[in-house]
Amino acid sequence: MNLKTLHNIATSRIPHLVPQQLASRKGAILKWTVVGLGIRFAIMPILAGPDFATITWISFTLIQKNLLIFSADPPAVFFLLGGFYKLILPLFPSTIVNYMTSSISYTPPPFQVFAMLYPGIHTFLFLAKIPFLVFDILSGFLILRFFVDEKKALLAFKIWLVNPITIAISFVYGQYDIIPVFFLISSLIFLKEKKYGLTALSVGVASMFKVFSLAFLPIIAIAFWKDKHRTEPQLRLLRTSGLIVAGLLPLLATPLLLTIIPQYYESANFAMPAGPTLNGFFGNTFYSQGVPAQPFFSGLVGFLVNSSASIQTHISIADFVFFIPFIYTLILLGTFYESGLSHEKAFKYFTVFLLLYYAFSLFYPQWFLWVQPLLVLLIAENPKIYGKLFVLLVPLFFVYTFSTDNVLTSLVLIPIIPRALFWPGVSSLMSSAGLPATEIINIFRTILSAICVFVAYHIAKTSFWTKGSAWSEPASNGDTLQNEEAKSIREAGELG
Amino acid sequence: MEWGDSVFYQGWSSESSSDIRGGISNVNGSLQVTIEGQRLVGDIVAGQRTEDLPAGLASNRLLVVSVMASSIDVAARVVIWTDFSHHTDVLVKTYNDTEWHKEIVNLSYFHLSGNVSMIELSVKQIYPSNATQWVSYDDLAFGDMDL
Repeated sequence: MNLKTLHNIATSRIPHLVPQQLASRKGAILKWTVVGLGIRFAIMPILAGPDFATITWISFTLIQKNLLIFSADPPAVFFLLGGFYKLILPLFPSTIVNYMTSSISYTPPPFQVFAMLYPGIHTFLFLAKIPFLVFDILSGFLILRFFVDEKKALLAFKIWLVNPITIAISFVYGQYDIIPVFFLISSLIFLKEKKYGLTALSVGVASMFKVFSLAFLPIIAIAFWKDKHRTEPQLRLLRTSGLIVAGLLPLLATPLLLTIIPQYYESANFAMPAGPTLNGFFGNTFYSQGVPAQPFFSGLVGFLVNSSASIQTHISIADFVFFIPFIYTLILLGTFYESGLSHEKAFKYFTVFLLLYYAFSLFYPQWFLWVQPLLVLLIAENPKIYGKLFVLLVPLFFVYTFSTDNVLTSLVLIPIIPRALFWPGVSSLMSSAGLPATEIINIFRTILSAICVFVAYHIAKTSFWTKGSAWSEPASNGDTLQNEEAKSIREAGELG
Repeated sequence: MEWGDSVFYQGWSSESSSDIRGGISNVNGSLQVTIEGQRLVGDIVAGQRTEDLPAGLASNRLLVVSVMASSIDVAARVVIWTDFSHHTDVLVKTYNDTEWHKEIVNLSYFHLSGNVSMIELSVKQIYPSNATQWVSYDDLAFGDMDL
């Protein structure tokens, strides 16, 4: 097969990924895809965090022993990754796979770190991250579809491919959040095309991997409710309810998945002193005898309440106002009182919610990936405002990761520098230099919160309860988003 | 120090909570600790050893032992006595697959010092039961970590 044949095959396939209006920019898209792939290929085999070893360990145990180890992560991740790993199992170095599926337990568990020291780790890391690569690159191609304006589309695509935050989360730390993010972007595309059933279903699939995406479902339901204002009320209510059920269906179907295979409950060593040395990963399984450590909806409660900033109204009575449900209620009220809820506004309301979540709630660094496609769309629409703010957010995000000390700093280097196992994290280094590490890191975290709030405010000011679309350029540029917006506002004459 | 051969069973004696039936037995060279009769949460039967133990915990920071349990209703429990009034649980863990598991416990997290006076390998009731249950132990060893 010569180069010309390869080129013909490539060009005959690429149109399926590239929207028609961008056909003339295929060259640039191909070039940036190669750049994006090059960066990812360089990082994939050499860096990984301990969490990546954990999810690969559980995935390999699932496919090798047909046993599912319950963890803080949802089963869907292990079914998906395990399914892929099974397809290419002979390519993985057997030393690491055998180590991961052996019955050796460590207390406290440095298991994940040890896995990174095995021979063949680079091949292992590269192969094991391929699913992330597929979802990540496909997400970039989906992002191309949001804009008619080819310059904006290409800018969004480029930012996605070189965004250090998305690259770090998926390929340095090895977190799987790109999977739900891909389905979230899919849902945005379906919403843009007013395919509400598929929108809800995509959100539902995303929620099988990370429950945060369910927060988008009520916004979709309100958008649908407003869009169908001419439908008979009973039918409208019925169809809206059906939409919500469709969105919940994948998550509710998860227990069916679990009936397929026997479940294996790895207990913690409860002799360990309380605190971080006790393997909280499986902590409660000791007492639950066959009941998963995480109750079915604990993820949702954890997401909305457990990490949220809150105010206790009375010193001796447990009466709390939680910021995150408070903000989310405001978001829903805001969408409800919009005269029309176009897909743009729906995206932006969800973006504002996520930004305020990061501002006022503890979030794990990988959670910052959720908002990245939404920020990329904002930057492509208004690079002057959002581009500058994003440039500020990037270093602040990496400073925020220092709060994990060595977990997301020195430990990710172990595959290439085994001695990094003994290196202190940035936070410890600062402390040993006599600096108030916690205070310094949290000052930068506070600045990150302030910028998130400012971006949220700017979005609200320019886009909410207005008749125009802040995303769209004047109609002369051919951006159809504005036309849809105007049409939607005209049609949605009634409240709610 | 290692007892990874067929005589691992030798040198252990049995002890149990009051009114609890059980004991130790040799199953293919491993030490099986059995608990019987009507039990409540926390009831224990233990195999105890006071001889041929590691001299100093400072140079034996890792405890390695193979464990298999009959069901998730009971936990494996390993206790180190540094003298006859000070004891520390270093492993309390359940298993539900009736397979051997190799446990490697870093003893430095328990702030133990001095010599080991006695080791207990026991079965601890986690859920009330009257069915006979057991935990088997083998390949007990102490050592240090070389990285």
